[in-house]
Amino acid sequence: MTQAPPRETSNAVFAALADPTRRRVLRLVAERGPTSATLLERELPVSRQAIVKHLAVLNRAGLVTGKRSGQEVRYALVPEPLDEVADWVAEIGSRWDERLARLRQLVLDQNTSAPS
Amino acid sequence: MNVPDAIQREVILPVPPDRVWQALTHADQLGAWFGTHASIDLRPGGEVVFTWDGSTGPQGVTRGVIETVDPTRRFAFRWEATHGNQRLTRVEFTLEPHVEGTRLRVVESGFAGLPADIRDSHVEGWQREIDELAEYLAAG
Repeated sequence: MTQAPPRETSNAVFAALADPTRRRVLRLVAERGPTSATLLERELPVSRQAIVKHLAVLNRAGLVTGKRSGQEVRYALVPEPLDEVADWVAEIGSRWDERLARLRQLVLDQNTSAPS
Repeated sequence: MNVPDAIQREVILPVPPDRVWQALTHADQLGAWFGTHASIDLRPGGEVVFTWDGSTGPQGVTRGVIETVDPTRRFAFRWEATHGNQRLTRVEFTLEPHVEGTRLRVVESGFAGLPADIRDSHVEGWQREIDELAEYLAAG
């Protein structure tokens, strides 16, 4: 599916990743393994409520998944949407490479044919 | 973070800037290398429409709005970065005379919704980070 254009979910992923605090939350979730808002609060200069909101956005974007563990919800990273984002950027770059190669060929062809 | 919000490419083309300008702004030539067909209303605010028949990537139509028309020097438009994605990025072509012909720079910018790490055109670097994230997950 790497050649497929981004699905609608990508917009939610980009929006979720646009916020620097949310990226830190995601990074911490990735580093700590399944972790709770309470544990994240100790490592971030923001309130627990803010962290819960960030986790909710990440969850809606499909970047984390929550699992109830006793009194609290533990969140874990879902890496697949990040692969999709990386694929998208790589694809845009490689499309430019292809286009510019075709542009070069076009001007070379024009150069060798007599101008009208 | 100071990472530029753009993908950038640069090529030297063995023809003068006015020839490159034509390839960028004349519908028949633009269609020949950029899409499989193009139409263009060459003025700021004018529309540029690219159509792909599927022979060089996904099939589809992408519309852009022209922002800058500075003949033989600068041409820019804003468009959907890719089919089906509503984010508008800006594509800017800058042409400069060069001993061998023309230096053409392309900058596609406006990936503001992407993390700074991704915006860096070093996609491999970002891929590494993703791999690391995945490893952390696996290890956890």
